[in-house]
Amino acid sequence: MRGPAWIRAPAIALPLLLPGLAAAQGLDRAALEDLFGEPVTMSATGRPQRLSDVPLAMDIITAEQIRRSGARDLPGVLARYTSLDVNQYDTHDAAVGVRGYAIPNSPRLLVLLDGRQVYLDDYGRTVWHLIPVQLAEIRQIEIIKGPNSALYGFNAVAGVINILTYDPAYHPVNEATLRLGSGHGREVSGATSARLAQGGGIRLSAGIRKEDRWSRGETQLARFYAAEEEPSRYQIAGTASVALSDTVRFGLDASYSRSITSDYHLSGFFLPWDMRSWSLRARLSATTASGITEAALYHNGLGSSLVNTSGLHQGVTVAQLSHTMKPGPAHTLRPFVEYRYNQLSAGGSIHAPAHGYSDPGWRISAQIAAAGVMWNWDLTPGLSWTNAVRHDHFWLGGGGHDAPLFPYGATPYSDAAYDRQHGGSSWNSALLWKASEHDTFRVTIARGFGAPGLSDLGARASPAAGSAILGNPTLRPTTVDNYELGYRRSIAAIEGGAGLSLFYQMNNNLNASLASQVTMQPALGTYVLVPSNVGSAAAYGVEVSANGRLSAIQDWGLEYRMAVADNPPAPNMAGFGQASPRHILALRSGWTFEPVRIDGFLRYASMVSGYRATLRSLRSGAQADYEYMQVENTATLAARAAYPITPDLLLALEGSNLLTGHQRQGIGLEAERRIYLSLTAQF
Amino acid sequence: MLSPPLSLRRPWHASGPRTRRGALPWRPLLLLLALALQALPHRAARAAEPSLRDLQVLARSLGFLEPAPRGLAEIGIVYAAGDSQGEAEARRIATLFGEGLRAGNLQLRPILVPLDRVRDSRAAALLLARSALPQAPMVAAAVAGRAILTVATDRAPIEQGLVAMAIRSEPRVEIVVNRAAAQASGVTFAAAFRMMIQER
Repeated sequence: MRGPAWIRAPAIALPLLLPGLAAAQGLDRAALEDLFGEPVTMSATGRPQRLSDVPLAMDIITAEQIRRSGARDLPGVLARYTSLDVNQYDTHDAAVGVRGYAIPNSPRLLVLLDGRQVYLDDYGRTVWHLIPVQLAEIRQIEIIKGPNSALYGFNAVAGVINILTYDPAYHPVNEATLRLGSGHGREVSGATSARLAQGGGIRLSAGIRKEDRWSRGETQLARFYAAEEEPSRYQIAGTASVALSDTVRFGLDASYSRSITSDYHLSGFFLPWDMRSWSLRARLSATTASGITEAALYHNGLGSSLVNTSGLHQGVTVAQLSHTMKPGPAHTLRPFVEYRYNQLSAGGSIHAPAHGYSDPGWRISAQIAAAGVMWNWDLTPGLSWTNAVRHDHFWLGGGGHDAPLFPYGATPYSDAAYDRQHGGSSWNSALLWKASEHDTFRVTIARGFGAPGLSDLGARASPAAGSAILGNPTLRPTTVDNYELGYRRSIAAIEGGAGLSLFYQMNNNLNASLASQVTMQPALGTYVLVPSNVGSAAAYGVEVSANGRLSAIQDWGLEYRMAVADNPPAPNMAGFGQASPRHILALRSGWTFEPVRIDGFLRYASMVSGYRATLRSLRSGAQADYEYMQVENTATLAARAAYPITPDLLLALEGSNLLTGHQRQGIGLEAERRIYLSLTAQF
Repeated sequence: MLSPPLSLRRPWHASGPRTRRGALPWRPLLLLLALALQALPHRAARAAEPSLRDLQVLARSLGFLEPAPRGLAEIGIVYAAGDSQGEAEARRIATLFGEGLRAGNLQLRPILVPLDRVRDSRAAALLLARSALPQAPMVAAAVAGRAILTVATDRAPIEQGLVAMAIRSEPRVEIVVNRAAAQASGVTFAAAFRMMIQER
């Protein structure tokens, strides 16, 4: 074997540790997709599957669709091709949800980048503009609707979005984009790849983007807290994949991302953040005679600064091991184990020598050990049964909570209150019946398991304006029981297909997080916000999708979602039931007039509403002091027209919110029409 | 003749112990579903002559053999010697390959192999034309342990364990591998590939 010693050593050692390693190769998705003529995914069950064999409600957005979307960020792509809830609060800030309950900082959706968690555990949120990926390097975006905690663990309670980039060993990406537009929008991004010896590859990507915030619709509070700097983000990432031997592949990826923005938070206001995240991950995979063994070890770091507070530091270290095997012609098994250590800490923000007080800061940590198994049984050639079960066990810990909360005094939660542990199980069971070459039926029942964000468990704050905030170590996890029927049909007459899903879900122990009701704490003598469980709520609905071609030059697609979401019984200001539109309809059509390509995306969303905080409500927490915002039905249009100047140089005109100059689409700022000109070079 | 279910003979708005107010009429719905499924097109039982798309699926599948053939490789089109129609079919199939079918870094070149020359073949794979299917047991015996993949577009031989792989490209790509037959002929597929196909 050739290569440096540090590469050779693990290549030699691994077969000794994992006996039975024989001929192996990595998963060449492109080759599999060429063979089967459809997208290939591992996100649904952990085993490689064709999209038409997946036993869950799943969408895949391809690289071609991403390019044709004209979107400049991930929420924009999702809004144009799916019926997901995409609640846009500002030009860069959005909450994305599945089947309702898309409140700001929703902890219900797990977002992964090549299988690595980019969901942030601090507040239990996904900061989309902090995800270190450029659109050009994305192979596909996989969207699982419904709980899949049994495979991914907690927070995959409403769904999973897995953003998959190209494997540099199989598909080099060499592309640069310059984008300029209204609102002082400017962006430079790109990726470059190189082949490595022995079937390896490496890719580096980077991007800088700046643009003005939307200018209308702020509350008085938003202006009070508004960031002075324009929203901007800086990202750099690298990934490499090499073959250590014919049997083993090794991958290493690293990223750094900085984002300066004002993001919308519960309970209804913008906070100016300066966030820095970084990650480092090592991956090992081997295809053995009995299956595919995968191991990963990664660390995500997050440092964030917020007005009036000291910096927050969060880190999560994750170790994962799985083995996917097919012990018999009809059975596939995937046992897996996972360990993670997660910590959120804050330095002391208040120092009052005159009062003899120095804030020691605080920290909250969670150790989690999990184990589970997926089992797929092909009962007959047309009928398969997939089951997955996983158990997560949590050990909580805390520090700095014994100190009094200046200037109020001792809090109800000491460090000892954080010395606790609990566990939770999640499971999925799905029957998939291919009734004919064209028709597939699906029945799914699942339980998802969602842990609270670390901030909800352990934060301590006495901000200059507003009530004190105390994390609640007794918060219970949210569970989601989901029942679902699905049907899919391929229709040759339209060169496409159609699908239908009916779902009913019961959400237990919903966590209102920072939208929990503020109460007077006599012991502290002040109003305190303590994140609380607010009870259970049901949701049900239907999803319809269809796509096809009208002619050789025109293709089309339709996504519709109805979700009726109840409110939990206990009072809160999250507005769960009204946070998402009841009806979402996304229509798209594309035309090819060689060499010009035109795509249009029309999206309709019915009414949403929510509470927006005011200076007065921050202090009192009283519902009457909040501003109730009701947003009427909206229709939006986005479009792109692209012209190849040369085979390697593409000029595109892209627009979003084209129907009106300013439009209220959500409870954040009023959306603005933005038009961009982009130049993309491939080299 | 069977009488229709009671719920179908009763008006849908009728009250009575069998139809509760507001309840869904499950029995007629299930009956309608069953009738609809009967009307749906079902899997074709018999394969037609291989199409170019079938051959592309075959060529791409070879990339998941372990070890996978690379560069220029031969695929034998097996036909019944002395059967003029069978030989004509084999020639038509060979014509579809053109100068050689490419899949990744593999280029497949066809050669005609009459049944009585299978034992001498050094091809990476043998595609059994329809005229050769009755002699599939003889082909299986001839390739035993020689790491030669046997392929058919008919399902029957794969169910009987007489060929290692069956392929079909329309209306969707279907690949079936018979584990025992593959093992007998000394053929191994990549694990990821095996997880995405049907095995017998």
